[in-house]
Amino acid sequence: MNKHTPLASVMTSVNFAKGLPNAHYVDPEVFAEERQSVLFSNWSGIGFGKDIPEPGDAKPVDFLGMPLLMVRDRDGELGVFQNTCRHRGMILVDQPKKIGGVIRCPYHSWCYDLKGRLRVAPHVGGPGHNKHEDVDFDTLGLVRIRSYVWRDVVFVNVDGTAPEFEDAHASLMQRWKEFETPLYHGGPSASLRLDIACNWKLAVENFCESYHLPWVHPGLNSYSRLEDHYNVAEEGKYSGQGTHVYRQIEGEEGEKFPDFGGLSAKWNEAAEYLVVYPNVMLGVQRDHAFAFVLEPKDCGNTVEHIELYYAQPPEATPELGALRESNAALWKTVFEEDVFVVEGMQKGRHGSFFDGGKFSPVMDGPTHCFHHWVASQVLEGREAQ
Amino acid sequence: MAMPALAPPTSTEEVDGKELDRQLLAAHDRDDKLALVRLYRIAGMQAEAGGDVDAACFYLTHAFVFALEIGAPEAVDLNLMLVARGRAHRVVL
Repeated sequence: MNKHTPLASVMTSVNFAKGLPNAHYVDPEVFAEERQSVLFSNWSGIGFGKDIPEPGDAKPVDFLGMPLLMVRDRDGELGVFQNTCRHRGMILVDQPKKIGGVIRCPYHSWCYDLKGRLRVAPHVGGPGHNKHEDVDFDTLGLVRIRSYVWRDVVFVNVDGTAPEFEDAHASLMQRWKEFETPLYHGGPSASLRLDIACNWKLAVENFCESYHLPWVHPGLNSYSRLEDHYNVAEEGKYSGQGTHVYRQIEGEEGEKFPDFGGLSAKWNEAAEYLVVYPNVMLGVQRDHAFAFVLEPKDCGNTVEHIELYYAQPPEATPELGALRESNAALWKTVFEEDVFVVEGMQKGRHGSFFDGGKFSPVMDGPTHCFHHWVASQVLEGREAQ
Repeated sequence: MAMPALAPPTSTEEVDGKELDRQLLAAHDRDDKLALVRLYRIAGMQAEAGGDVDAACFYLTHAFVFALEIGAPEAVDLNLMLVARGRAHRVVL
């Protein structure tokens, strides 16, 4: 029985609101409620297209206990299925692999093609009989999970109730339409993983505000000062931060990464870092971009999967290899500087007298925007029960 | 009275059958799908030659499944063999 945390105090303006109650960070029951109402009911990130680059590539993903399978089919299309055989419920693929022909269940060898269609059910009608009048192959394909790939992030709507991705995120996609150009993953050094002992929402909250930058990232003060930043808070949609002063990283001989094509002059010195609710965090800059997928493990543990992307593939710009390494190291330093903060906030939320916190009406708009959205999703879920 | 000695293999078929079993087990051990396709197909053809259609289709099913799994072109032919015997749906690959 869910305790139904009080959320009215979150659903008012940032000037007067309080943050989400402690239970949303430390209570397994509320974590389970958010799993359904926030993460399964919306478009959540589960991985990256670059993880299955070629036809036949398959990668299993455990998303909040839900076994999923990302597959690149022979047409190059990416699909996501429930990673469960329609026969006896066996897990179909337990590790990333190249599928030469079909997905064969290791238990009784029911086989599915890469579009999820059941192709063979061996001996289903008795030894040597591979059909039966009461086994309708057309209704026994793998359960397809709604998916959409944007900026190489694989999004899924597990419960199937969300609006189409392009409708749900229309305003954000419009905002960044200039960046709808090819992205190229930066290679092995461009993949980072951080295991952090905090609720997944604290990673979001820290990402979408600039208030903490001068205190937690003093190294940024020299080129990315607090006063150069602005808040982005679109109620019910997305939030984050931007800067008017983005400075490109340079190599020892002044070399820089090539820009994404077709950007307007605005982006010469601007950059933005926004959260695609609920669990994806994106950054765009003239010469490179990054994406976080937050993998909630339980109410107090999260894995951050981080990937860096460029306008040109590494094979086309081998002379920039050292610069890519430096850039990845720079971002790794920044992202790691945030770990003690999010883990500290997680510990702080075990303080039973913490009331959700008082927001700065000026600095915390993006964070409150996220809290407001989460609370609205939870309330919708309760109403639907 | 002394027990009779075990009789030696009396036919080439019996020896081939044991050898086939051995090769099949070895192919399973090394997860050699191409070999499994070939060996199960042989087993199927031998069973059919012996008049046992059920056994033949059992083995041909295994050959077909492993061929399908690895995307081997033999899958088409094996599927047609099973379809011709009324034992499988036609699979268009």
